[in-house]
Amino acid sequence: MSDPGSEEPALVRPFLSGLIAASSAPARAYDPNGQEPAAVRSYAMTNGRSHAAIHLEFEAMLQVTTAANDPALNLNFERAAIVRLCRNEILSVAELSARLRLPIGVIRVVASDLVVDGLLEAFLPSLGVAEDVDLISRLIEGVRAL
Amino acid sequence: MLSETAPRPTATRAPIPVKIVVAGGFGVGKTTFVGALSDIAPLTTEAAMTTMSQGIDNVGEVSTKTTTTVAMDFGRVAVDSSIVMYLFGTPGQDRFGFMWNDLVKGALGAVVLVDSRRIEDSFPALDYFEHRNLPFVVAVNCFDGSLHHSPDDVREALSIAPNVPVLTTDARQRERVKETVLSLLDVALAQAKARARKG
Repeated sequence: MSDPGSEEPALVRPFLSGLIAASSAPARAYDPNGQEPAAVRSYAMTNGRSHAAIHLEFEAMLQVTTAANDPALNLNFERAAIVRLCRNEILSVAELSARLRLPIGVIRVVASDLVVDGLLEAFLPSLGVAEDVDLISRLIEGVRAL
Repeated sequence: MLSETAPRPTATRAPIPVKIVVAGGFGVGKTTFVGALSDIAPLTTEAAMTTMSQGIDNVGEVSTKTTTTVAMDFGRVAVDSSIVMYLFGTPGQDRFGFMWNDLVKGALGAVVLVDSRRIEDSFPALDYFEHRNLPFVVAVNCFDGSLHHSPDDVREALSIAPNVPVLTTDARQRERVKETVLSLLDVALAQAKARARKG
């Protein structure tokens, strides 16, 4: 899970979280073309962490739990945005990343927190998919019928 | 778990995400391929990846550690009431092939798209998948309806192992893309059965 080189460790600079928290500047949307500020901004959202408690694959799917419907819930905006999107449909980490224009690494960490907090339920890809004759047979049937 | 007032999610059973990787050189038609089968218009996502520079992007720095943001396009296909198939195009900068690890982890298999006019562009993808225990097929994309080299020529030119299917496809045509994905699924099924027999 913590495969060195495949995560984003170089961007983890814990000192940045304090720096960003002190700033009252309004958050800017992640801009893929404006590279420099985006890197700081994105990782500030995760408080400088790049490793999530639960490893969510790109295609891991997320849906809200009943706990997420609590009207007293007060979520900050990245968390709120993820919960809002997952309320209407079950979405993957990659889809959340695309829709919210946030790098996958950020979604992974924030969504993992939401799962730990019991606000999201995660559907993970089958680990044994390569051996799963039934699943692959169902896929073949399903793709033929498309 | 869901209260009666909660908006009902779309799937009736717990979804099972399955991932297929679509690889190949820049401009070979990966996004078109994904879009031909996807239920949604292909989306773009970005991942920041840290890597050791291979000297190609060297801008004169002494440090060889770089962080690159790579973009990848993907689509989603509801295959049945619970299986959701995600098709991920590998990042366009294919020289960063080894950064695919995170993307490829857990994938069922891969389609390597080849432009028969620039077959060398598919080398990184082929090298990558040949060294992994991951089912893949090689699909020659016929852009303009014409094939510059036959699948056999491509197989020979790329030294593709006999057990890896080499076929033609047309990334713009849904039926051809379906056929290509099915040929990959057949390879995956055969390998899964072989593994099951071994116990």
